[in-house]
Amino acid sequence: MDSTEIAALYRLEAPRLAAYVRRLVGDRHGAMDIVQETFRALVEQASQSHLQSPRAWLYAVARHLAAKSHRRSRPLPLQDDFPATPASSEPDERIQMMLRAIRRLGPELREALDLRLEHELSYQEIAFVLGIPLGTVRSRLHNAVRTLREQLGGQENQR
Amino acid sequence: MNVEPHLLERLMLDRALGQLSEDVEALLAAVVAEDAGRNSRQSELLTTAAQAHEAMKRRSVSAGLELPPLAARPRQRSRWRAAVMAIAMAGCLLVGLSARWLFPRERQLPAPEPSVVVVPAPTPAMRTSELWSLQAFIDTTKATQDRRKPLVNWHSPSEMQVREIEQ
Repeated sequence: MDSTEIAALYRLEAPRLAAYVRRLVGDRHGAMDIVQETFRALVEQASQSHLQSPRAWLYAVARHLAAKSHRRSRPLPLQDDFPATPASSEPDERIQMMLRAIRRLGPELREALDLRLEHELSYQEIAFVLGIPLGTVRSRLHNAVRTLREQLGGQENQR
Repeated sequence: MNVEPHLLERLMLDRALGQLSEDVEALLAAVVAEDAGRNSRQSELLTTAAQAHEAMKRRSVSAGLELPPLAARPRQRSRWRAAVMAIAMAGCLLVGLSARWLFPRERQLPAPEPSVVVVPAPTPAMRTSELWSLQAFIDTTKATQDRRKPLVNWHSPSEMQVREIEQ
């Protein structure tokens, strides 16, 4: 991986990675520092060995640095950072309901769902980032979608 | 085609999450199309995942993050923290020096000379025996041994110095 590829990866991935880390540490400046540190580590690592999935590697290292910065041994739960109203000018009621339902998910399910749907990591990459077996990732994602469906179905029935 | 319901559910969830290969997805679509209930369930899951995807995309967190060019100033935050630490330590030092200046310690008095107490050595027992007798020899030897006991000498100024005086 040469410097051009790393620069391209930075332009593409850094904003999304920063958003992920910000949800972990809850601090904008801290998230930016961690992203910079992560890419510095990527520059060093890329010169030494070949990375199978640089994106997964970036997320894993960023997550580790975020946990280290908070001096926590347990995995960091994703923080509730959803805006009060979506960025869209015409807030969709369904989207609002979905945001509330996602908020109610457990942190482990929410993090797996976040990595899959927003950051578009594969099951294998999520397993690498979270340091858990592939089956656990699949199970968490299935549970998350099922739970969302049940919550939304219940809310639609109440209306 | 007869497929176990729990296996079908898992495949439908994988499809909703976009993790099925094209071949498996086509096969699953064919199986689901056979049954209205399965079709309905598949639609629910697809809609839920799509809505969740859209909701997550609408989050405006990344909009406020303007990242600097790569490795332009990677240690800026650390330097700032180091500066804060240095200022805090300098402040502590200043407070300590101010306290020393405001509340000076009383002058220390010179340590008192160690007092010397003279303890008379135990006198030998009165000789009751003859001068050249065996008992006189034993008594004399015993008294000599008592005199050779080590001196008690405390070097601490707060303690007494005890010196034995031979008589």
